[in-house]
Amino acid sequence: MDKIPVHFNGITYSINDQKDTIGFNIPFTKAGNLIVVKAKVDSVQGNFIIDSGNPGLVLNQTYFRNYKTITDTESGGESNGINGTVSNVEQIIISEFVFGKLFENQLKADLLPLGHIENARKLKIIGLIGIKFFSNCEVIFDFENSTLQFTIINKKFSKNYKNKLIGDTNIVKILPFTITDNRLIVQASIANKKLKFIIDCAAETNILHSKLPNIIFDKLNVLGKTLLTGIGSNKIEAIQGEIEDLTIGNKKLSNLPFIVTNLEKTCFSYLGCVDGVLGFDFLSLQKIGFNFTNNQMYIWQ
Amino acid sequence: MAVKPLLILKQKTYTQIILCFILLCLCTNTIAQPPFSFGIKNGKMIIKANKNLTQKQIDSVSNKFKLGELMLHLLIKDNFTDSLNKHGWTIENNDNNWLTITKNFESSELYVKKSNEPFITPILKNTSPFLFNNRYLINRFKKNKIPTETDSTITITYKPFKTANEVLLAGSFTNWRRNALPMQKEKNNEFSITIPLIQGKHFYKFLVDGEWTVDPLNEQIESDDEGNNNSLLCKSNTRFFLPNYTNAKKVFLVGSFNKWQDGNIKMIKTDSGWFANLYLVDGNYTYRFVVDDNWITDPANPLKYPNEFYNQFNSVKQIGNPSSFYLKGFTQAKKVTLVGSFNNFRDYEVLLEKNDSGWATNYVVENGSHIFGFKVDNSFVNQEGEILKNIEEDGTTLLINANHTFSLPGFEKAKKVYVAGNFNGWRKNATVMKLVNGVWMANVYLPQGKNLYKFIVDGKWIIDPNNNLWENNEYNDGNSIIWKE
Repeated sequence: MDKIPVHFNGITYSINDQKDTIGFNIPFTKAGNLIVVKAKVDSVQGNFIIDSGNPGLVLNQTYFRNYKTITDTESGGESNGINGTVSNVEQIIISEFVFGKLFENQLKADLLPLGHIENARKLKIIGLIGIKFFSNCEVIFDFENSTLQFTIINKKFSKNYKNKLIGDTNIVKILPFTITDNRLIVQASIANKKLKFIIDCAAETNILHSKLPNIIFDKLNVLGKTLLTGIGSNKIEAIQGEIEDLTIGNKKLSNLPFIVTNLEKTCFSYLGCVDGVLGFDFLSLQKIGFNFTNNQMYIWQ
Repeated sequence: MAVKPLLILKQKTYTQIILCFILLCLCTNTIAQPPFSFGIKNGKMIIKANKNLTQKQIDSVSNKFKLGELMLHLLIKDNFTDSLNKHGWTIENNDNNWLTITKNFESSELYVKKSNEPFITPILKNTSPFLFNNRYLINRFKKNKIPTETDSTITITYKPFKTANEVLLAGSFTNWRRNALPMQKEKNNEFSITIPLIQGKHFYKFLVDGEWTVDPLNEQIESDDEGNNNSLLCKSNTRFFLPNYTNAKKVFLVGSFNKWQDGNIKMIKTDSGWFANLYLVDGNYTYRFVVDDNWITDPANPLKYPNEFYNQFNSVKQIGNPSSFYLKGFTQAKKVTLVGSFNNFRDYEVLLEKNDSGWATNYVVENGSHIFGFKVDNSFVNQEGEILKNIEEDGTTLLINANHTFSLPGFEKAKKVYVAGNFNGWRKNATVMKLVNGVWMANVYLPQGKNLYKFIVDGKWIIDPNNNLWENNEYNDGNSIIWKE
């Protein structure tokens, strides 16, 4: 059967015209708590981090410095250059991005310094792959088999699509999530307080905003002070601990590790400020999946 | 008539409420506050400490909560606030019994604000010391069921959950399935195999009647580039053995190879003593055994170095080929020690032995660029015997196994050029470059992975003008990058 290209959201999929879905698996490795996959940007092939907390494609400035940058009018065109302050983001146009069976041509990508991740994990990192690429996909994170299971779902079929694995609701709980400001948001509660969390599989740990009500932190078993490394290798002081009970859907999770830091700067135009981030420590507890065509999250029991 | 019972009920309820209130007050008064707490309140970090805590207790909680920098014992006992102010903490309350201090969380740039900008993932410092410590390897198996080893062989056993007909051992050493080895079926559905194996790190899995499985007893699993999980196997090159002490409850091995972390390397008990098999990369290591919390040297090893405590020693293991160090002359000196970047310039540790013409010792130096000298009684000298003002800057340079040549053309008129990077600890005088046909050149050893470096041209630090790969640094003036495969 002939294959025809299908376009959605600017991404071109090679899809069989007789099929409503295409499935493929991408193996991943772990660098610390980061999910690392192989992908290719133009002639540069190598390690990329899957980053569900990130909208699009971020490339490591080190390896794409020779590309012509686009002026970001919203940011006033300030650069993130070697002598400048870390404030605004440069963008470039790449000719081709290939990730498994997903590929896109003439794609805009953000350039950022990712050296701090390389230095911490002793691994060459070409870039970060954000959720934009998953918008017509179902993605299941299978940590036991170190595999990302992708299903590209034909738009016409998305209402009727149901993964056979998700049939038994005793095994798999289905929860809604929202995409706001290109971030994947779920609701969970601590001490009966409803909180908004970003799901970020590239966050090595779960994070709570330090300005949440005291009642939340009454449930935190503090383990000690720690340091996080952020943009430009800045070290940020934080508190490390475990939350006694976090409820998501009707699933209760005990003693979940969290870092408490000030997320005041994590506010978005539509989303407002987030209360926290659920990262690798949460995702890797169980098999977990996201259907981006109907905004459903699957959590295996 | 209808009202009366209601009134009685009300009176009863009021009595109950009052009783509850009194009880609550009593309880509140009798519930003791913990003598030390560290947490979050009103968006701030808060520490509350009772002033009756002993110094030992204060040190213990400081250690537990990683608050050493605050020097809380000085604050609580002597009202010494310098370290507190330096680290941005404020005193909220300081009465006769309690001290309360708070600190605002810095507003982190972990995540940037605008919706069209990306997140940058926060990286946890030292997430897993085991993953990133590359000085040693050890087998870690549940129930201490580690593979038995001889000098050249290792025996692996496996008991399938259900009866199996055939179990094959497949690993990086068998080209996986291609040369997979059949395991011998023993009694109780247990399979085993003894194979020759070179020292170092290997991976393996079992093929149980055609189905792949990792070793369920092996606690160390790593995934490969294909996303397959494999069990990690270490063929050791060093056996640590502590004879006797068979009445001890637990024994741990600590040393420079694991940064002296107690509780990290558990030794296994036998009828005659305790052992731990490690694979150590080439180097000179100091170590001790921790027997039921008592730190002792190795009674079976005569090689010892003095440590930082008066008249105390650590045992020594040398792995690999030692280099010979010799200092001519100074035969009237009382004591000479070897001091270098390879031993963090500890000037009390490596004693040289006197012979007829000078002083000598052997020491294993790992691959790379080093700087060293000698401490002769109270003075530091270089290899030529010249007195040094600053050994870390002016000592003798030593290069073991060069694998890369740095070159810098276009600076013919410069008087002095050095190259510095993570490979030589960023010491600015450690690696001098030589002018050869108009190009400054230096041979170095670069470790595998990412290497950062800069040239220093007549005192000015510059990135490599001929290398497109560089990243920003804390000084905002960049470091050049070389990846060594």
